[in-house]
Amino acid sequence: MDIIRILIYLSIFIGFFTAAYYLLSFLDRKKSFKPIKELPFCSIIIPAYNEEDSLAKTVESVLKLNYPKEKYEIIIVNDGSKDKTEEIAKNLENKYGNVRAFTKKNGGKGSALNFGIKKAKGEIVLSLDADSMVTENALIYMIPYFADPEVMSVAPALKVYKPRGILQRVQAIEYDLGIFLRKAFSNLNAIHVTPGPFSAYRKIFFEKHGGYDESNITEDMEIAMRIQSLNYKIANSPKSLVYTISPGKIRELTRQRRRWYFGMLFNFNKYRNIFGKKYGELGVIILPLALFSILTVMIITSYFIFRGISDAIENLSLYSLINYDFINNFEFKSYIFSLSFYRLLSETLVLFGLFFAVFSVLLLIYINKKVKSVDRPVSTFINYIFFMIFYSLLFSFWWLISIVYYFTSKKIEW
Amino acid sequence: MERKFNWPRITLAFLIAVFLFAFGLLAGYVAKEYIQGASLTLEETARNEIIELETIYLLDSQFQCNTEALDITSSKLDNLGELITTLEQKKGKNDQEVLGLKKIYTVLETRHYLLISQRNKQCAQKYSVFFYFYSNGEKCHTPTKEISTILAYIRNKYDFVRVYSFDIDLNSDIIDFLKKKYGADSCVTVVLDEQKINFTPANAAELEAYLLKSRNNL
Repeated sequence: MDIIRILIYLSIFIGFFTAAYYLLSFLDRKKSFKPIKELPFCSIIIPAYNEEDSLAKTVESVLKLNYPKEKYEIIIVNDGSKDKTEEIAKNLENKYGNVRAFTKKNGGKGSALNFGIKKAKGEIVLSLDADSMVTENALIYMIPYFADPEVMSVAPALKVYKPRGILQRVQAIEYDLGIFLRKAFSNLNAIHVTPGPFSAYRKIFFEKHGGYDESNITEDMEIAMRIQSLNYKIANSPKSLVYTISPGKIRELTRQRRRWYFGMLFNFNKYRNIFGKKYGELGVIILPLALFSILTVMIITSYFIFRGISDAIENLSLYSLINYDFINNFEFKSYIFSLSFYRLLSETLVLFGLFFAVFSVLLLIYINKKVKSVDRPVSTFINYIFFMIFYSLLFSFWWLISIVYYFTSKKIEW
Repeated sequence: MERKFNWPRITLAFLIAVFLFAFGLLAGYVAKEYIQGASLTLEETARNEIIELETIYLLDSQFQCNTEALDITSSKLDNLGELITTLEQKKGKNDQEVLGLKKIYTVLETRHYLLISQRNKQCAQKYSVFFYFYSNGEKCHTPTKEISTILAYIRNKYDFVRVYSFDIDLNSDIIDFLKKKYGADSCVTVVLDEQKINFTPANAAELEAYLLKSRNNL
């Protein structure tokens, strides 16, 4: 048996283990909360850079929160925008009593958040991307988790805002998978990313351990890994729904993923001390599993891409012998076609792979049903197929370029 | 925060994974067996094709210059070639069953060639016949692929062309005889209408020009 075959079998086994492990964790009974005597004052920081199109909508969604108005403030930090963001922010400040707007020199998201934390009066600080919208009960559902003094942060449930087109629809499936995973990770004390849209933190954490790492391109992951490395808890509030606008074009999506994955590698390296027995299941199972999956997907995909390219090069050189006259060379023979099909289906690995694919699609459908919201129907079957095939390929491609960027020390802009 | 391992959950997840893996593997194996069993095995199919071909050869003599039977045998011979290639890829070049079928295939090709030569003498339609001697050896990979591509193209382009391929590494008396006759001892040797081509065509155009010139001289 060749190495690739062994690797495929091994990754399928790891895939089954991961699915079972996370599913068991997801289905764990919910912990009961101690009642909160008094709602804390919260500061919602919205860093904005050239967000003239979505800022007002984001702020208005926060103003509709089912939370006492006198118990929260909105801090808009205009990070040196070149569009009308500053003007919109000032208008919102003048219109609403609990909105404060500041403008600073451009310094990136981390620096804008740190600026906002300094201005924040709240005991609880929340970050909110200016392209995201919160649902009415998002905040009120989060607060009880802070009754546990070890909880330093609470992550919301993120969904794609009004997905349109195949690319956004498959991202919607991915985000639903994220909700499932975050809940599973929460039960394992292993959340290692607190999403930019509406994650809540105790302000005391920033005072004790410093603010966001301004040089880090995935500051939301860095802060979560720092919380984990200091052995605090990160909880998850799956009912706190937050909608975010996802990239609608492949180029934007690739840029976003390159930043995420590059940041992941960077932060895994920065907090490599988390890998190990001291950090329990996070250090021994979850993070190593993530690295193993990335590595195997990379190797298997690279192998097939390399083989495909080398076959294509060989075929092209052969076609040059016939002057690329495909019309005269083409001859469809149903017999040959059925033979190829037969050959493919008489391979145990192919049939086993099909079984794994069907299992994965069914699991995705189950997850989607578990985390579906009232305003969006469950994704259609074709989206799952698209997610399984094309998204997996894109996933490998994104990882490949992120790794190249990481090891060639190329700089990635926010 | 104290971090603990939840061993019951980890063990249960592992057992589920083992079960799913074993079940998937078994399901894959059973499905493979079912697919193979549902259709005739490749070897059986090949043998059936051979019997049918032999019968059509016998019938062909009654059709004389009618091309109907010849077309059937040509198509069947091509299919049989593909079937043997599939078997070779599945079972390996040195599998005894595959080698046995290749020998029979060589006999059938030769019979088909004899049929064509007879027609060339008796009927108006003239076929151009290529003998293609190749080797599957590692060193011969590139020239074999190149000449195979060129000959397949010419066969598809011209209806009057027939190509008979012979594996020079096969232990066959017919091939040994033909090899000796045409001096086919290198990776690839091409013979057109019983004349060895004394150059290696660099591309299809070169061989096409040679073929058309040779037909004009008929």
